[in-house]
Amino acid sequence: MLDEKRIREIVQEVATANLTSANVSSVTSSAAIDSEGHDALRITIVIKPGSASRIKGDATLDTLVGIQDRLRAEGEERFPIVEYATKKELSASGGS
Amino acid sequence: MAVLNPDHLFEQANKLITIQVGPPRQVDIRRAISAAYYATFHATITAAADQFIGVTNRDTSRYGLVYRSVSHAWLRDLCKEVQKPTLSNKFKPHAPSNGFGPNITAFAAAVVELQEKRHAADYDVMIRMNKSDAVLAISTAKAALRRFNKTSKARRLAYLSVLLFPPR
Repeated sequence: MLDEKRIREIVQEVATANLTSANVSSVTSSAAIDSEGHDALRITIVIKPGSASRIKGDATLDTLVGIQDRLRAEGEERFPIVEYATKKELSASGGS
Repeated sequence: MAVLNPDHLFEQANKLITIQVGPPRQVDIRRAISAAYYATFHATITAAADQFIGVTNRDTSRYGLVYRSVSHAWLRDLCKEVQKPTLSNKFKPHAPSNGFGPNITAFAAAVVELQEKRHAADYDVMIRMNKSDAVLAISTAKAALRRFNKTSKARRLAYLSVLLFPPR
């Protein structure tokens, strides 16, 4: 099991390589439970405003595969749930 | 027989998160994420049923039987399996000699991820979902299907064979 700092480093490297630094602001990681009840990782890639419409599907798919491959290669067995949000979306509160 | 067109599910997903003024509602974001997953699910099952029963037999009951034979859980388990650097022994005899390859493994990664998101979208009220994630879930699902369709016939046939006829 990798520590959160190393997980963030890996995710930042993979995300920047595939999505470019023009679209990626930062990344976060936290422990989670997947839908089957197993330990998982919730990874949030914080993107810049307007980036969601600019980022191509092949780039997000390569990011997903890259994160999974790198984490697995370093011995991390938890399933990464990769999410995207802008800072504004992360700070939004209340339901609609 | 009304085979669901994945493009229509993607269109539905996009409509749900773009037609409103202001931020989309949680229900619309969640239905959009769910539709993105279901586009990949139905496209995969359609490919399998078309392969083994035939496009021209879509209106037969046996097509319906095959279509309904694949569960979400089995699709997920198989997708996890084909991503492994080394396949489990029971899968090895049924894999292509050069492996399932990068297109199937990327497709499989997306299916597992989208299924996980779909589950959260449908059942987890403790998290707030957002439009950016829905937009990129749709893009990812589209890319995954492009990779699946780019896969060589031999690899695709091997994957669809194991999907419909799980090795024991």
